[in-house]
Amino acid sequence: MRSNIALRLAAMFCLCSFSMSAQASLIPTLDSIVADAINGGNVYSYDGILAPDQGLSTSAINPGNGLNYISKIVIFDFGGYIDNTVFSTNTLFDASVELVSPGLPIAMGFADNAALYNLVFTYNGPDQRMTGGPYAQLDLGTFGASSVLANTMMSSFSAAGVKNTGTPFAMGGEAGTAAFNQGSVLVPANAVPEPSTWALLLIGFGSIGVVMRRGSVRQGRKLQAI
Amino acid sequence: MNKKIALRLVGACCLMTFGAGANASIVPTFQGSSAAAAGGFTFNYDAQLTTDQGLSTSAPSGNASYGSRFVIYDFAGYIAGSAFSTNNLFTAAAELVSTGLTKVPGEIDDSSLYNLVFTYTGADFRTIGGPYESFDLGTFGARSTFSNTVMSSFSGVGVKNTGVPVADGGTAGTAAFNQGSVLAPVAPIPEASTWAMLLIGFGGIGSTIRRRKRDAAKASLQLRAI
Repeated sequence: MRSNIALRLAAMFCLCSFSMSAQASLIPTLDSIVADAINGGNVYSYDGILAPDQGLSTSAINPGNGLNYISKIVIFDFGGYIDNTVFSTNTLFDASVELVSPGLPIAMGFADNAALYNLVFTYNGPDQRMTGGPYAQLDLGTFGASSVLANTMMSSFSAAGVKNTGTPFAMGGEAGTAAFNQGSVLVPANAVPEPSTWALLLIGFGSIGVVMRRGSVRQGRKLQAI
Repeated sequence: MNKKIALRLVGACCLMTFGAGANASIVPTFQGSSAAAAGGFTFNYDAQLTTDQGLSTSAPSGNASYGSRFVIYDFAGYIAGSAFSTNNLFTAAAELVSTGLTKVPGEIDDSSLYNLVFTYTGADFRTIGGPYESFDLGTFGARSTFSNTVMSSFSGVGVKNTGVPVADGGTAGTAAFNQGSVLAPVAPIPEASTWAMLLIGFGGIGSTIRRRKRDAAKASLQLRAI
């Protein structure tokens, strides 16, 4: 139990030390969890920076199926979502929620739970960094939402961006085509009792049982004595 | 036709301009092909590890683990044993079907064409504590009997290195997946003008045969008249 507390402290420390510089190729990273004074619950903030080799577009061609993809980030299964709290500090990204997010690949080993909301951050600005990459890293800002839950669990994200390296697509190359990323990300979840908590509960029930049994045995002896 | 040549020249020019600095999150970018002394054409791909990703032979995602690698699908005209990697921490191989990785939406792996597979074999590298500086992974590729290119796809697995380490309940050290488009060799398809020439040729042969038959018939009629 003590080592658990130590681990959590270490985790919090890491959170603080990494939060300033966390960056990604449209890969969201949980940045902070703070109490939400307005809506109740907790605000979950995710950090996102555009990697040097990716751009943003409202319609990047994916030659694999001939469809166009809007650059966006989806965080799957955000448990305990509080209505209308999803936000983006970047005005070029719309923040919304949906129960299922079809059309994007999900990270290997994960499934989208249709009972839990997914956070969706959709790019709405002009095409940028489509070709001629790599560029310098670009901080996309902070994205997130509030949840009634305070615990976290491992979930997944899926993102669509634009590959900006190589010959431009208009000239038969790869730059300007859709690029996809998936991976793991922390989301709010119900507190699941730890094994030690279950053990405590078991011991409690056990002792109640023992006490009751002892009580009834004594009662029986008393009755016999009378 | 002139427009096409001009476009190709511009394309080649762009290739040279962009070639030196292309970088990616285990995203391969086609750098060009050249005639090989050993036969066929050498296709070179550039790959750099982006700031937010690391390498590992086993990174968790969901309930499974994934080794860092990248696959270039449907490399037509592959010359046996020609897959290479200038980085000795990556093995280079070819396989007809690549299972266990997410493909670009809509893309189908043609099981009659070889996929190039570059697999990381080294120690864990930059799996936590990111972001780091960009890291050049080297040049990867293979030889093909063809020099023409077509849009194909790639799939890569790396490691997300931002956030709290996975050992402390975070996501740094978990598998990150990338997919997108990349150029691969293809068997040459005759151009429209070539087809037109063929059609004119057949037409010419047909009309000659017809004329000869008619002339022969006329000649036989004349013979009868005599």
